[in-house]
Order: sequence, then structure tokens, then C-alpha cells
Amino acid sequence: MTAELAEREPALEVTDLNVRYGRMHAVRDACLIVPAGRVVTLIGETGSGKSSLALAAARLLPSSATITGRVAIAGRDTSGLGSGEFRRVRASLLGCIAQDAMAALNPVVPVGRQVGELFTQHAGMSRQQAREAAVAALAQVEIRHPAAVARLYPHQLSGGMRQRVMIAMAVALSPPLIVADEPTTALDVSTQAEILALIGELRGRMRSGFLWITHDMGVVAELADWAAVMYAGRIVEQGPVETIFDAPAHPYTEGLLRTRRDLRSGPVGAPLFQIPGSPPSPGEEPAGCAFAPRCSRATQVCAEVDPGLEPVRRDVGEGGSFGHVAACHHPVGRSAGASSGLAQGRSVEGQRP
Amino acid sequence: MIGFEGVSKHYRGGRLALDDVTLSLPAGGSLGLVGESGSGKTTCVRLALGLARPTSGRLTFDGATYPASRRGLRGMRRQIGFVLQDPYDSLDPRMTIRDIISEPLRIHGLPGRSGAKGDALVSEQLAAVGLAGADLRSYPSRYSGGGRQRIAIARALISAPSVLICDEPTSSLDVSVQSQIVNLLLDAGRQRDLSMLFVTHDLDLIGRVVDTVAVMYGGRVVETGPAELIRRSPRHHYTKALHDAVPSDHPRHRRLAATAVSVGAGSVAGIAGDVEAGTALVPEAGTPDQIGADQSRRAWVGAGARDSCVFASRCPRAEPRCRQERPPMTAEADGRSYACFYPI
Repeated sequence: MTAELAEREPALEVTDLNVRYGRMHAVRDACLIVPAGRVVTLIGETGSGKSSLALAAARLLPSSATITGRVAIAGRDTSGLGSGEFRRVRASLLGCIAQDAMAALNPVVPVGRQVGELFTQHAGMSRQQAREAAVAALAQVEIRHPAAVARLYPHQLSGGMRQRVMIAMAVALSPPLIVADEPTTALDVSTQAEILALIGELRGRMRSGFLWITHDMGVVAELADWAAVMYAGRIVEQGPVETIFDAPAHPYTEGLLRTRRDLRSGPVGAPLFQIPGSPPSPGEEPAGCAFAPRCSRATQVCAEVDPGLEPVRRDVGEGGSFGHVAACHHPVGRSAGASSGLAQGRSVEGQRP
Repeated sequence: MIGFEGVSKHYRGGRLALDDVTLSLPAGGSLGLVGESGSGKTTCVRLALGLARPTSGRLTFDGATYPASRRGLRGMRRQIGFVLQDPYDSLDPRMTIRDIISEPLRIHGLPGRSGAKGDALVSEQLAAVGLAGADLRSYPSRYSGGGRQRIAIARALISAPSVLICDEPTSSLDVSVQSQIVNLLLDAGRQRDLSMLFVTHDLDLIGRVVDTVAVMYGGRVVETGPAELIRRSPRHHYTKALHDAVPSDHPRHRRLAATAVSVGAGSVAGIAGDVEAGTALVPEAGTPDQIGADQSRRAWVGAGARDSCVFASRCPRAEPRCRQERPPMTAEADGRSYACFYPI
């Protein structure tokens, strides 16, 4: 395969992915594409399956997990590779940024050497070359005084600096795919802002595709080109990020957006907007739509028939946007069969610019 | 109800966690402390709960200085309910929810510790937090994060306290559950006329739920005032920077990741250098030992900081004066005050 061809391939293509832990069905029939050079965010709460999906794509799940479906990274089908074979090619295919950098880094090895190992093992560099390349990699993630920092151990760095080191390692070999699992969740808001700015910078410079897991709609707004929302093991909606924010079709997506908007601009002292109820516990498999018990638009059909992902078509406002799909019998923005309460709320929301 | 009058707290090793902090939680009112890690907000909670003593300054409860004796402290604590950040950590997994919720009654020797009357009291509390009909003999492991936090709230309220202290009560919860828990706390506060001390790193959240906000940085209160003012028109540059660091609401308005907002040399966001790291993270002629996270925190809460503004090294507006003199709290007629020579 030539380099040009490889570039045109999506960074990641996941088709009909299922992940099971014993009888627990963590990810169901997930299909997702991360185009090269783009950021795709996977949004979900605890137990939604977002981490399972991403880790399955990166083949980082324990062997107790049963994975079916196809995963292709830069056009290369990795689901067929044996584990030894995959380990050999992994560093050239993907980089990972974990939530807990302290746990992901080796505590007894200076960070510069940890970055350098990537170059000695996968880029055939000598130790001396790797040392220089590691300092350059640290500089690339805007660590000031990279040569001094390279000599430090992870515990000597702040949380934000450790996360930068993780990012340096993930991007060091310019892999086609970078998987990031809530890398800013544990950070202070000002540190998160810096990391988001750094990623915004890196994505402009690199051709890697990012699969970015988060539960924070603000992070999605800042980073994403494409957003996919997971609930109870399924992708319930995905589409271009502006479409998701302007015209969410799934009531769960709408609820998440409204929760944040209300928190940011509602009046002081007024109750916060809340989505009632809580997500189904893992392993629970409702017959119909998993969100139905919490949904004000739900009708009988929602409790009985699990809605499949369908292209979103609208009979009011703008037309459907390319690739926008949702799994809902009564999507937001379509009047037919909509329950009055939320439909009214929707029309008020719709007047906002 | 709770007052901090010029309170400082040194930990062993000379770390100055709180530096001359004055705060007041009025009876029936609500006060929010907001700040990032290392700002001193958790130390404030520890002091308010009587778990630590100030090095200098005075702490008052209902007008009287905090009691020095253990017994006196215990009596005072009966008046204080608390909800902590992590419901997975703060509930003993080996205790039934009945025992967890009625624990304050046992500690303080209040009626309803056991027996049918106790069961009824616990059931009543469970119903009040939205867990009506829960099995009293179940264990916390049966519940999700939100459910556990509800149990923690029931425990906090059972001894009918007059003050409720919430330390990041929702930061480990899922987004769709967070607002439920906040609403529950607000309702409880209103119904029982509680004085609420609410601690969080989330400026948006704090601006919604309390009357008065105090913004903390480096062990000091840098700005305080009515929530609406702090939210809409901050005076202190740190408060502004905190606002600016919050991700935007819509991809069309993205600020952080779109183009780097450069303030100081080498900085990439509104605040130059993260709090822990600080701009002094890697000293110019640095020895690696000075770079440790804890040491760096000490560096800016250290003795040198006493005669300057704590935010000076990261402030876009800093002048030489900010590094030589400590800005006093300046009060405005609208009820806010701030420690800055060059306010916005």
C-alpha cells in the first residue's frame, strides 16, 4: 500500500462491534468512523460502553472480553491479527492517552527515557538519537525546558505535565489513530484548557485521527468534528458536531446539552434542569429503547421495540445533515407523536440563535 | 453561622495552606468556595468541620469561638452535616445503609439509634432523598454513584443539623445525575433552613446554587461577593481566567482549542501555567528536586508570597507592585470585594 492511499483511509473504521464481558453486553452493534485528521468524540456516562468501545478498537481489553465485529486502523483490519502480531504493529498504528497518567507511566523510569523507548523500539534509533528525539517530542507538546523535564520521574511532575508527557508519547511516532480516554477529566479547569489548546494545535499539525472519549459537552464543543453519543451500550446518535449541538435528534443528547446550557446560564438559585432517573445498571437489557424510562417523549412503542439507528430527517427547520443518525422512535424536532411537554420546551429552545 | 476571621493554617513542613482568610457563612444563607487544587478550599472544610485547627486567626460557630475540647467539638459537630466528594469512599461498604444513615444518631447519643423507631426514622430520611422503599439491610454496593450520594445526604440530615457542608458533592457523578443531586441539596437546604457551605472547582455550578461566592487561589480569598456579580463581571484577573478556562457552549464559539489564547510567553491558555505547575515549575537554572508537584505548590504559597499578590506570577496584568506588596481586600458598594491593585 502506498503512503498516499494509506492517508485516504479513515484512521479508524469500526463495523458492527460487540463487546461482552461474560453475560454482560457492554457494546452493541457499534459502527463508527474516525477520518484521518479529524477528532471524533465519544460521549457517554459511566457504563455506557464508551471506554469498552475505544479499548476494543485499541485492543486493550482483557482477554475475558469477547469482541466481535471488524476494526480497521488506517485501512488495516486488525481484528484478524494475532496478539503477538498486533503488538508488533501497534505502536505504528495507534497511540493512547489515558485518563490517569500517573498509572499509565512507569514510576521508576525518567519520563524522557520512557518517551525515548518508543524511538529505540519502533523507529530503530540509537539510544543517543532517541534521547534527542524524546526531548524534541516533549518540546512539541509545549513543555518548557524539555531537556530538564526529560530527566524527571512522573511523581515529580504536576498532573498537567504528566498528561503532556502522555500526549508526547501518543503522538511521538505520528500514528494514524490516537485514542484518548477522558484525558482531562481529572485535571483542574485551567489545566484542561491548556491541554485542549494543545490538542487543537496538534491536530492542525498532524494527520492523525483522534477518538476522544468524554462525558463533558464542553470538551465536545471545543474539540470535536464529529460527535457520537452512547447510552447503555449503544451509539444512540452521531453526526457532525454542529448538527448535534444545533439540532440534536435523540432526547438523551438534547437532555445532556440542555443540562449544561442551563447550568451555565440559568438564574441563580433556580433548580437545575435535570434528566430524571438514572441509566440502566450494566447487564440490564430492556426490551425497547434503554432510555425510554427516563424519556418524556416515550410512548408504548418505545418500551417494546428497540429503535435502530436511522438517518435523521426533519419536517421542520433545516434538512437532515449528512451522516446524522439517531436511534429514536420520536426524535426531537419531528412533531409527529411528540409528547407536548418536551415539544414545547423544544420550540422555546429553538428560538435561541 | 460559621465565621473565619483572619485564619491561617500552616501544615507541617511549613506549607501555608491558608493565608489570612476571612469568610462568613450567614445563618440560613449559602456560601460557595471555588478554586482549583491547592487553593485551600479543602483546608477550609477541614477547619469548618473541626478536623484541624487554625495556626492563627479565629473560627467561630454561631458567634462563639470553636470549642477547644473534644467534647465541645463533638457537641458543635452535631449541628453540622457534611457530604463529601466521593460516595464510593465515604460510605463503609460493610455497613448496611440503615447503620450508615443512623450513624450520626449513635455518635451523638440521639434518640432513634435502634429499634423500630430508628427504622422508621431512617426510612423517612431515605424517602426525603428520593430512595423511598429502599431495603434498610442493603449495602452501599447495591447503589450507583448517585444513589450512594443520596444515602450520604440522608446521613448528613438525620441529626437535624443547622449547617450543611458539601465538599465537591457532585464531581464524581455522571452528568445526568449531577443536577439531581444538586437540586436535592438545594431543596433540603431550603426546607430545613440550613446554612450551606458549598465547595467546588466548578465556577458555573457555584454561580447557580449559592448566594455568595468566594474565589480562592493559593490559600487566599482573592475575590468574594454575590454569585451573580462574580459570574457576570469578575474584578479579579484570576476569577476572569477561571471563567475563560471553561469550555464553550457551542462548537461555533470554541475558544480554547481553536486558536491558542496567548497571555504570557509560552502559555497556551488564559492562565499561564497550570496551578500546580505554575510558571516557576521548571526554574531557569533548575534543579530537578524543585520541580516536584508538591514543592512547586509550596513555592507559590511559600513565605515569599506573603508580600505579593499570589496570582502575580500568572497574571496578564501584573505590574512590579504586584510582586512587592500584598493587595488588600477592596470593598465595593455592591457587596463584593477583591484583592487586586489593577481590577478589571
